[in-house]
Amino acid sequence: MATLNTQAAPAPDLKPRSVMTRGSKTEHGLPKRGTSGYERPFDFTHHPKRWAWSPLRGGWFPDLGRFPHEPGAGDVAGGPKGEAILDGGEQRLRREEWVIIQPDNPAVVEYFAARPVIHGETFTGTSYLQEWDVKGGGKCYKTAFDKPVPIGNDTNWIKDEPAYNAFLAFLVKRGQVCAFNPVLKRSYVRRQEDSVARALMAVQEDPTDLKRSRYKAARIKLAEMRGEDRNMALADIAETSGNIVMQHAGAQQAAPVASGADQLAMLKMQQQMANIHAELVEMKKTSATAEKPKRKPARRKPGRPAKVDTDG
Amino acid sequence: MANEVSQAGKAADLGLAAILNRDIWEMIADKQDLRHTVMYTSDPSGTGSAVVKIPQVTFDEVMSAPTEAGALSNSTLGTSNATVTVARQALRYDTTDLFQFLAPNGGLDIGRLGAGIAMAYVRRVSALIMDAVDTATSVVGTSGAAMTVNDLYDAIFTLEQAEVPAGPYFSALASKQFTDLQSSIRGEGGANQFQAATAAMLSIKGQGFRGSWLGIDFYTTAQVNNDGTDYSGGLWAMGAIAGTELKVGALKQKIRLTPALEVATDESAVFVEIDRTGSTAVNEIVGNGYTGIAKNEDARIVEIKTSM
Repeated sequence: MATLNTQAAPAPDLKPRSVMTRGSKTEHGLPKRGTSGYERPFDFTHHPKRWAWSPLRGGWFPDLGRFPHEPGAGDVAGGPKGEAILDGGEQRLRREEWVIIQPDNPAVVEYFAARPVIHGETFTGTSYLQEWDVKGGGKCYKTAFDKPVPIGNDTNWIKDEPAYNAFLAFLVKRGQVCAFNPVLKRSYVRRQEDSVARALMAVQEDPTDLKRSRYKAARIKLAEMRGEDRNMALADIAETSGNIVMQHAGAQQAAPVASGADQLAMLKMQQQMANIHAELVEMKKTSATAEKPKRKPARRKPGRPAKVDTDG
Repeated sequence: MANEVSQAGKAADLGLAAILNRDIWEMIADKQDLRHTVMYTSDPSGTGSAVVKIPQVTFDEVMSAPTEAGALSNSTLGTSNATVTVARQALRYDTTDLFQFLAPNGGLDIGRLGAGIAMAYVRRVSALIMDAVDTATSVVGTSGAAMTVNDLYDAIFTLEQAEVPAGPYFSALASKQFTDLQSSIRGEGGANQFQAATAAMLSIKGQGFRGSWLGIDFYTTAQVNNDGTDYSGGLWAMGAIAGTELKVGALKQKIRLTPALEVATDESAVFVEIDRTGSTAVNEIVGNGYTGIAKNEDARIVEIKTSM
C-alpha cells in the first residue's frame, strides 16, 4: 500500500510553510492605540503597607505594585544598548522595604507550571509577564491575566479578576508578599470609620437618596472590613437612616400629623387660607381700578426733544 | 444634452481629487506638562556621575531638660538620602527629501516634527512622574470602585495627618477618575456645596489642567498607570517627587553641534536635530532629552487607586 500524504498527517518535508504575500512583518500584532505605556517589562512589587480591602477581591488582598524597567524612573539607569540597568532601582525599593516578585521567581514559575486556568483556558506560559507584538513595530508588556481584545484600531484589555485573585491568594499562601499586619488593618478600619462618619453627616444634613446610598455603601464596607455580620450592618443602616429621615421630616413640619382625619382637616384649612388669599388679591385689584388717578402728562426738561420711537 | 464639461465628468483630467487644507489638524494627544509639580535638583552635567543624591536630614528632636550643671549627651541626627538617576529619552521621525520638496507651506515640515518630538519628551516625563506616584506606600480608594469625593478626602487627610507642610498640592488623575470625581461632586453638600470652585469643577474643560478645588491643582493625563482594574492617580505636595534634567547648554560647550542645535536655548532640556543621509535622501529628526524622576519623600504623596 502506497503511503499517502494526507492533510491529517503530512510528511515532514511536505508541511506547508507560511508565506507572507502582502504587507510587512510590522503589520502583525496588536493595534498601537491601547498599548502605549506598556512598552517596557516590569516586576510585581509589594510593600508591607500596601494591603487593601475590596469587594471585587472579596476581602483583604495585597495591593501589588510594579517596578517598571524604565530608564530614568526611580533610579533605573540606561545601558549602552538601550537596556535598563535595574540595580539602582532595586536598591531603592529594597531600602523602602518593598519586596520584588520577579517573573522568574521559583514560586511564580511553579504556579504557572501547574497550569492555572486564565480567561477560561489553560495557561501555557511560565511567568506572569507577557510580551505582545504591536503593529508598526515595538512590544507591549502586560500580565498573563490581561487579555487583549482588538476592536478596530484600538486594543482593549480585559482582566481575568478571579484568576488574578487566585494568583494573589497563592502569593500570600507561599509567603511571597509581605505579611498583613493587624495594626495596618486597624488603621484602615479607622479610616473607613471616618468615611462612614462623613457620609452620615452628609445624610443628617440632607437625607437625599444619593447621600443615603453613599452612607449605606460606606457602612457596609466598614462592616465587611471589620468582619461583622452584614445583616446586622444593614439593620443598623436602616435604623440610622430611618431616624434621620424622621428627624428631618419633623424639622420641616413643626408637628407630626397624627392621623388621616387630622391631615384632611389641615388640607381643608390650607384650602380655606388659599381661597381667602385669592379673594383678598381680587379685592385689591378691584379697588385699584376704581380709584386709579388720571395719568399726568409726561414731564420733559425744557429744550429736551421728545423721545422718538426708533423701533418703528 | 451631452458632453458637458462637468466636475463629475472631467474632474479626472481637469480637476483634483482633493486639495490639502491649509492647516494640519492635530488629533487629540496628551499635552499636559507636569514638570512644575516636581522638585528639580542640581543638573549633574560635568560632575562625572549620572546620579544626583539628595541629602535628607530630619530635625525632629525635642530638647530635653538636663539638670542645671549636668552634662548633655550628643543626640543622633536623623539622616537619609534619595537619589535621582539620569537616563536618555529619545524619539526619531524620518522624512524624505521628496516629501519635503512636495509638501506645501505650512505642511508637515521639519519644525512641526520637531515640536511633536518636544511634546513626546514632556509626555515621557509625565509618565516617569506617574511611575513615581505608583511607588507611594500610602494608597486610598477602593479597588474596582469609582473615585469619589470621599477618596479625595481620605487622600487629603492622609497628607494632613502626615504633617505635610504647606503645598502647593497637585493631583494627577486619569480622565475617568476625574469624571468619576465630578459625578461625586454633584452630590456634595455642606461647606463645599455653594463654593464657586465646586461649580467650576463641574464645568467641562479641556484635557490637562482641570481646576483648583480644596487647595489642590487638578490635572488629568493619559500617563497615569493602570493594572487592568484600577488607575493609579495621585495627590502630592511639592517635594514628594524629585527630578533632574541635563540642559543642552552644557553639551554645547563640549561638542560641536549640528546647526539645528546651535539655535536651541541653553536651558532646553530636549534638543532636536536633523541627521541627514544624502545617499538615501532621508532626514532623521532626532530628539534627545536626559532626565530622571524619582520619589523624594514618601510621606508627601498618596496614591489614589480607583476603578478604570
